[in-house]
Amino acid sequence: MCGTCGCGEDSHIIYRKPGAPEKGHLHYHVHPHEHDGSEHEHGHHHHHDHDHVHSHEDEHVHSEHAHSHHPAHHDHSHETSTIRLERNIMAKNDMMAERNRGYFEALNITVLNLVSSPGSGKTSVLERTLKELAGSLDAFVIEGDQQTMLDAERIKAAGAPVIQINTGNGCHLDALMVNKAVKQLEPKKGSYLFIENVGNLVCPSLFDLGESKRVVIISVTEGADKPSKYPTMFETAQLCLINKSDLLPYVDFSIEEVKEHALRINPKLSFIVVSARSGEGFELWYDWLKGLRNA
Amino acid sequence: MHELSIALSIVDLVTTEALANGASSVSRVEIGLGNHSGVIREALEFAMEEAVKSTLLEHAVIEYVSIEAQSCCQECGLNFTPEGLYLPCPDCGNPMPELIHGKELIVKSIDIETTK
Repeated sequence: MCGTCGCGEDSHIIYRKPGAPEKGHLHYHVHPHEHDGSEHEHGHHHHHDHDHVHSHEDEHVHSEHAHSHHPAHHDHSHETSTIRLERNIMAKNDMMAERNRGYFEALNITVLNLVSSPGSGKTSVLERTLKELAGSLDAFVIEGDQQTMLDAERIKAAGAPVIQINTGNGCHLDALMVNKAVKQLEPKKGSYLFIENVGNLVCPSLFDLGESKRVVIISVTEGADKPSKYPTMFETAQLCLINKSDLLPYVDFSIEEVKEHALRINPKLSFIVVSARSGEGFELWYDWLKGLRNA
Repeated sequence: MHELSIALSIVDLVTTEALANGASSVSRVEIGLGNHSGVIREALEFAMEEAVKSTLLEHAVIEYVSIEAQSCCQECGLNFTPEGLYLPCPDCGNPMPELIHGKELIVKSIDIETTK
């Protein structure tokens, strides 16, 4: 089953570089209606847009309809046993994240997972960063959005190799998506890999991607109490960029207040006030990025 | 929104374990959900209804056990039930007592049916 919308297809996730033709399966498919068998008493074959998982149930209806699965009708007996598992449900993602992390470490690739609400300026921050650091570091970008190549096109124009992950209806990137994207992107040894997550302050916080650091971005047009309202993202981040500082004179936003809210959740969080528009604060951001290499 | 991918992970994990134990179906799944796991139980229940279709779990009873938050202060050693998230230690005021329970998102146990 598709992990993003629950339909019968394996996956709607598309990985694509700007300019590359779309490959893989057709993602704008028709959702088939439910087949529980009972509505299909006539004996013809159904034509579907694609194979789906209920086909063998249909066969049951045609051939063995009278045969019900009541235990009393069977000679063999069922035995029930309990297995204690105590297994972490996120283990699969966490394990894949650790595999990614090991790969990145071996190649000395510094990986930043950029998370924020939609519209706080993740892509704009990246664009300026890529343009201004073009000579001093090798940067690669994974863009996560539900739809479109728009962000990947912007990043490509800013001069960095980029791959776009379109999650369909998915609200977050996971470690497997990053693993697949990295294989196509092929980031260089010693480079920086920026992963721009899907704009969403809730779901991405649960999914470790294998990043070195998590950077949460908030803009001054948002409420200063956001860290308290959406705590998990601020809890799991190491750096908070407060963006759009050029708008501070026009909005009721207190830097001190947002820091106070965020520090209550995560006393170790660092802050840098920036404006992707004016460039204010970017030197500090670059120092922080370069400092990750010496740590 | 992320509950569907979590539901699919549950189905995946349970199916793997059930098959490894020779099960023909799964009749019960016990899921432990911490109060602060970041997962909404109602959303997960809804997602599970879809995720189990055409799997060994299709007719399984899904039980949800909630796991209460519990914190431990690394400074003074106090164990306590926090009244909310991100509150300081009630005894010594340490701003970051460690949450030792409440983040769980686990499959605790399953009942499997085997045919003799």
